[in-house]
Amino acid sequence: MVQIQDIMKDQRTWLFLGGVAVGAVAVTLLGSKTARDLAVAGLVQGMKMRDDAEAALSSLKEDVEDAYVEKFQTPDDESGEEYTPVEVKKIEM
Amino acid sequence: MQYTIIHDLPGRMRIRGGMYAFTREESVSLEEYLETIPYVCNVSVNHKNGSILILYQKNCRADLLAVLTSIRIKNLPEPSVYGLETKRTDEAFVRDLTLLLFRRFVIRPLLPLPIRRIRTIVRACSYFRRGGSSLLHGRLDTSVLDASAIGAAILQGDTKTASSIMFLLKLSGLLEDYTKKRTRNALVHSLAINVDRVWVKNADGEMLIPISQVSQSDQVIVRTGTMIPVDGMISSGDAMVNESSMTGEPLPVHKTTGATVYAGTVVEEGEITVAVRSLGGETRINKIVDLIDQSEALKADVQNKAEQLADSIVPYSFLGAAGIFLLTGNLTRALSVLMVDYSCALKLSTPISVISAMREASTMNIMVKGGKYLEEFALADTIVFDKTGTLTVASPKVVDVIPFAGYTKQDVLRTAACLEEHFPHSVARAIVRKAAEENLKHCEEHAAVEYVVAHGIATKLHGKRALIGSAHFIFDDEGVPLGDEERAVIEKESEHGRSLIFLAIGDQLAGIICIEDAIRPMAEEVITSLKDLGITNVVMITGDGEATARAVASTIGIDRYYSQVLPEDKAAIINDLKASGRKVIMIGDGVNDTPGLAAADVSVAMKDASDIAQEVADITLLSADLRELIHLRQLSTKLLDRINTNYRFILGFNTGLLVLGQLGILTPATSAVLHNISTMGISAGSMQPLLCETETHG
Repeated sequence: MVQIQDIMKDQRTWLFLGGVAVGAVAVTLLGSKTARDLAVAGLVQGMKMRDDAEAALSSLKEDVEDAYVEKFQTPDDESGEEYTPVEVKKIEM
Repeated sequence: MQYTIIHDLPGRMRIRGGMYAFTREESVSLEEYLETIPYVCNVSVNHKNGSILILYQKNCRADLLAVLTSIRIKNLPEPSVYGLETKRTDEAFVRDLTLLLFRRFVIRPLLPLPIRRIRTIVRACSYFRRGGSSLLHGRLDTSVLDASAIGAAILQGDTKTASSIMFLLKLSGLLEDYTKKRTRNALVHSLAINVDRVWVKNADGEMLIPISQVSQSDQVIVRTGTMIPVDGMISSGDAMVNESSMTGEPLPVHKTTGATVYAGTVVEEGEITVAVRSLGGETRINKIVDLIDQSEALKADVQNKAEQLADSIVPYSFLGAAGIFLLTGNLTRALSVLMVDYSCALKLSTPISVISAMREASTMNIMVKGGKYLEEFALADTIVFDKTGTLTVASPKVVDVIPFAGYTKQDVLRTAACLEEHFPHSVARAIVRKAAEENLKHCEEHAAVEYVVAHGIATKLHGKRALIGSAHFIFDDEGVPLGDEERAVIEKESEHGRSLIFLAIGDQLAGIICIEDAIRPMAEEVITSLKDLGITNVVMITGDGEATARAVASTIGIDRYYSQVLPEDKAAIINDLKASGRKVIMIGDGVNDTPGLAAADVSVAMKDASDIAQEVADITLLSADLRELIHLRQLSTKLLDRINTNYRFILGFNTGLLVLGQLGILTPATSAVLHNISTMGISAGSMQPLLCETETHG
């Protein structure tokens, strides 16, 4: 009897019991539909962010490449005429 | 879907449709479709931002725009397996590399020091596990060395060094995996089915149709020397089937009614009718992938030796560390020996060099089935050419038809074409082509044909025995009499260097078909170049007569020739050359070359070779250009040079690091980083092309 009282007075006992309780609540919450929906929404957002980042990086790399070609690799036209592209800016595919 | 032209220069246009404009599979279909347009030089499609970069001939902008507006992404054909696999491999590599660099240079510096240390120790556990597993199996190999170096760094409290070692090991491994996957894709693509048309049974007998029109209920006829294009069951006939592309077993297997056959295997002898079960593309490709993955025999000897050497050095590294500790009592100096080793670099750089060379060969339309064959090609000093279809063009021509015994030229040519049309030899195709040019149509009047490899064809025609083939087959084997008039004609035509095919009907010579076999224009140049590259002996083997062989040999600089050679004799000639201490390359294209191809140290088949020659050969030239032999020789010798250079660098550099470490000039951490950077540098350098552009296009 004395021993149980000593155990119950020990802070570590209450910390342990508190941890078990928090764990039980967390498991219940995490298994709930709300938590699942939140996780799915979060992952969807994460995947969209990843796609956005990949698209942005790809576009950046391509723009740099195009600018480099335009500036340094385009040879002078031998006829001396300036190139004027036909005005087609949109294509339907 | 609307696309915007965001970059427009003469010959270079980029259009962009934004994210989700098309999927990865559609991007491959789009790329492959645009590459078929004649004025399009290069296409790069990126599905992540819907971007299409097109390089084209400068004056074709309007045509290109018209084509682009006519494309409907959803209506494009399915992408090829090869294209899709290559794209996936490239994307996976970029993704893994980006993640690795991101974690190393962005995430890691942001973590608090204690977390970084714990993370390093957790990551090190996989290396400890591998090292421990090797030790448990009684092996002292590079896994043990890696684990020891990492463990030593952690024990000294230097988690930064341990982390650097693991990062560089991971990076080198990533490079190696990527190179292997890319090469494997290229090899699988080249070994995949290329059969265009097949014979299929119908109500009237048989007809030749494109393979795309074959359906599951069809009966496909496969004859000697041709590849089985479908998976199915033999409904009639029997044959010896070479299944080496699937099983690796070089000996043919007897297959008869009821047996299952697979796409990509080859009928060496016989004729079968196969009830189609599936078109078998995936079965064959999966089998090829397994064969490439599993075949230890295809590794270059130098590769095997590098791996054995790398493992054998490891105990000396430990001994060295122990020796240094006993001499100096300094643990840091002793552990620095473990940080620098020769093994990692040897084990990584050699296979990467070999695999990269195989991939470079594939970009030159040369398919090498294993590193071992590149090595053999580099070390060979003798090259043996088959004449017809190899030194001569793949399209010989009929230049004359000489009838005898009351037959006309048309009778002789018509009958010959009727017999020859079922067989995949270049001479057979020439006869059929000539008959078609002269509008000589025929019905299938003959009975089943019997094909005697390298000799001829026998059948029954209107109740009489009909034979077509070489002089040896007709006069020696079948005993058809030869008169003085015929003998004089034969001598006269042979002096002109022509090949002669003899037609006999009912034990009488009915006619002689004269075939002119033009020498490939670059043959002489190729032989001269090969001699400059170290080939000391150039040999030609042919089944043609002495006069024809002599004429060709003297024209193009052949050192030695053998004429009137039978297929089994080709193998004997190759074996004699090998027995005299020579390393022999054999180049051939016909069914009759397969014994010689199998006997040589390394064998090469031309693009228009029979399916079985391509199956047996170790290397295939897909461009039918003999000059690729020069490039292949240059590539293979440069590969061996690179491996030797790598050996010397690894030895010199790492020895220098060890010495500097022992002299106290370099700390163990610096030695480890320099060692790993050099390993990674050698691996990356080993992936660089061996031949420059002027060498491949010159």
